[in-house]
Amino acid sequence: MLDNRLIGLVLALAGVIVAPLLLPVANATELLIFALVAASANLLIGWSGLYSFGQAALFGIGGYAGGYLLANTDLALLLPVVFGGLVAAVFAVAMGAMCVRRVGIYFIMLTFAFNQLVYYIAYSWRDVTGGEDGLFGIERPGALLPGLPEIDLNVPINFYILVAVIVGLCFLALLRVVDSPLGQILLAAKDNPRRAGSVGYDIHAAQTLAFAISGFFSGIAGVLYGMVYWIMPIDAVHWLTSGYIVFMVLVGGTSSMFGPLIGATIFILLQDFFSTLWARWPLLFGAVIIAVVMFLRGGVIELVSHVRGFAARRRAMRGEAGNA
Amino acid sequence: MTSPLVSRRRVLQGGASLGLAGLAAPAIVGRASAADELVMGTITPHTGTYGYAGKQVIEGAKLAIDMHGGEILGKPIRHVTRDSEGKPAVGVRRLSEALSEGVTVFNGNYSSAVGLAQSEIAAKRKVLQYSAGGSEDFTGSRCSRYTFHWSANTYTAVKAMMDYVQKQMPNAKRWYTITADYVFGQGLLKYAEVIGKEMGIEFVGNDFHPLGERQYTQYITKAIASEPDVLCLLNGGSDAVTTLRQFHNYGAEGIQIVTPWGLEADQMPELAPEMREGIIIGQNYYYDIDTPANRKFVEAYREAYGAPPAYAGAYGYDSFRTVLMAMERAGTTDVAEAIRTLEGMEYDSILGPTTIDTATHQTVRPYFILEGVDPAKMEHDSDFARVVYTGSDKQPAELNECEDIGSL
Repeated sequence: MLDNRLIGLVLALAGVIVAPLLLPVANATELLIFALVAASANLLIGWSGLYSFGQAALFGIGGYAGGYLLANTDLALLLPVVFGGLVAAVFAVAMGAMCVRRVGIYFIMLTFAFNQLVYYIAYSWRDVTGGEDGLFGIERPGALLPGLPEIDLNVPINFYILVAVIVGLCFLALLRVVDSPLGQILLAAKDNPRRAGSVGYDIHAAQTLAFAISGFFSGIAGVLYGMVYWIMPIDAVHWLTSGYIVFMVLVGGTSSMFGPLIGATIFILLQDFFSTLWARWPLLFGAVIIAVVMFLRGGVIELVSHVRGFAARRRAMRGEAGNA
Repeated sequence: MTSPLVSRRRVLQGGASLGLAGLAAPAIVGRASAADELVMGTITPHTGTYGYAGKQVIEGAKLAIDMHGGEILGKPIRHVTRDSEGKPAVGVRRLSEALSEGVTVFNGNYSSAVGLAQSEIAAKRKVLQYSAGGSEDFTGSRCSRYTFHWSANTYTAVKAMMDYVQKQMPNAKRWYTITADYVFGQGLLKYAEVIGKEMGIEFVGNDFHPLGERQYTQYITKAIASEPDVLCLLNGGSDAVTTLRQFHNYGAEGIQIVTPWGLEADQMPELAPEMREGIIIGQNYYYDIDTPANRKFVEAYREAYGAPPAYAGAYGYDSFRTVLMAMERAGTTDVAEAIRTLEGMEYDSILGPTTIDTATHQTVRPYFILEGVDPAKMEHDSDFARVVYTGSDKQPAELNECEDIGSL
C-alpha cells in the first residue's frame, strides 16, 4: 500500500513538472487547481459515498470570498487564500449538516439545491460578486505573508510553482485525512451506516466534518482559480461545474485519492483537445465518458491495477514454467 | 479555408503520433512560430445556445483575412479558432490556450459576460481584443486600453430609436416600457428616461420582468390599460419575441411597438408576418446598409457562404478589417502601435463613417432603425424589414463611467 502511494506521489510530481512544458502555463495551473477540487470531492464521493452535486458552490464561495479580498485589499496572498478556504468550510458545515440527514437521491437533490442557491445569490449580489459579469480586478499580490520577500507572481511560471506547492500541501493533508480514524469511520459508514452507527460512531458528525474538510480545500482551490485569469466567473459556481467535478472523480476512479488527479487531467485535456477537432465535439467527449463508465467501472485508475494484475499473473506463470 | 485546417491537421498529427502528449501539440507548435506571422484568434461559441452565431463570427473573421489577401505587411496571417461554449470560465481557458499559439489579436465573444472576463486577460497579457455585446461596461466601468468595442453603445441605440419615433410621430408622447430586470435592460431604461426627458416624453408606466419570463400578459394588460402611444420593449432575444407574440394576441390598435436592441433581423422569421408589420427595431447591422464597404462585404459573404451576413458575421468581419486597417496605417503588426493607431482613428467601416473614441475605446458608428415590411409588399424571402433611419450620437461623456482606461 505504502509502495503504491509512493509511486503515485512520484508520478504526480513528475506530472506537475512536465505539465507546464507541454501546456500553456495558465492551463497547466488550472489543471492543478481542478485536481485539488476533484480530490477534495473524492473525500465525499469515494470515502463517504456522498455524491455531492454541490462542490462548485464550495469552490465558488471560496473563490468569491478570497477573490473579494484580493480585488479590494492589499493583504498578503496567503491570508485571502486561507480566508476563502475557511468561509467555504463554514458554509460546507451548514450544507453538510443538513444534507447528510438524507440519503441517495434526496441527498443529491439537496446538494444540488444548495448549489443553485449559492449560484443565484452570486448572480444577484452584484456589488460583491459582479453578478453575471463575474468578480473582476483580482490581483496576485507579491508578498505571500507579511514580512516575507516579494515574488513577481505575474510571471506565469512563478505563479504555477506557487499553486503547485499549495495544491501539493493540500493533497498531502487530504491523504493524511483519509489515513486518519476519520477516514476509517467514513469508509465504515459508507459500507454499512447502521452497523457503523451502532458501534458508537456519530455518522452524521463524521460526514459533516468531511464536508468541512472538503469545503476548506475546495475553497482554497477557488481562490487560486480566481487568480489564474484575474477573474471569478459566475459559471464556476453553476451546478454544471459540480457535475463536471463529479465526472472528473468518476472518470479517474474513486478508490484512491490519485484517481481524481488523473480524472481532472483527462477531463480537461480531452475537452480542450476535442473542441479543436469538430464543432460537435461534445458527441466525441460523451462517447469517451460512456466508454469509461461501461468498461472501466472503477475509473482510469482501475486500468493501472488491471495492468499490474496482468503483469503479476504473467510473472507467476513464468515462475511456474521455470519450476516445471 | 487554409488556416484553421492547417492547425487542425497539426493537432491531429500530433494527437495520432504522440498519444497523450499530442494533446499539448498546439502549445509546442505555437512556441515554435516566431513573430514573422500575425496570428489572429476568434474565440466564439461553437456549441450551446449561441453556436449558430459563433459559426457566423468565424465566417466573417475568415473573410476579413482572406479579403486582405491572407497577409499583412509581407507577413502571412494565421487564423486560430476556439470554442468558448458561451461560458466565461471556458472562454478564458480557451483564450489563454490560443495565446500560447501566438495570438496577439482576438475577437468573437458573443456574450458580454465572456468578453468582459477575457478583457482581464487581454490587459494582463497585452493582446488586442475587439469585443461585441450589449454591455456598456466594456467602454464604461470596465474599460481597458487593450479592449475595443464594436457594438454600438446602448445610448446610441436608444437615441437613434427615439429620434426616429419623434420625427415620424411628433405627437407620440405617452410611452410605456417593459424592461428585462438585469443590467442590460436597466441600462436601456436609464437612457430612455434621460433622452425622453429632453424630448418631453411622458413615461406612463414600466414593468420589470425576470430574464427568461414566459408569461407577459400581466404586463401587456397593464400597458394597454394605460393607453400609451408607444410600447417600448427594453428586453432582448427570446424575451422580446415572446412579448411581441403575446402582445399581438390582444389585437390592440394604435399602439406603436418599438424595441431599440430587442430583436436581431435574423430573428424576424420567428414572428408571423402580421406581427412584424410596422414594428420598429434597432440594429447594430443589417445587410441592406448602403455603403461601398458593406456592398463588397455582402457580395463576398454571399459568394462564400450562400446567405447574406447578419450581426455576428458582420462583427467578425468588420472588427478584424478595422484592426488590419490600423496595422497597415501603423506600418507594423505590433499590438501597442496598433492600439495607438486605432485610438481616434477615423475610417469608413461597413457601417458608414466611423471613429474610435480614444477615451473609452468605443467604436462610434451608425446605428440602424428598421421598420417591419407589410407582408404584401415583401420583395423577396428575407425582406422582413428596411432601414428607415440611422443615428450615430455618441454617449455623452458625463454618462460614461470609464475613469481611467489604463496604460500600454
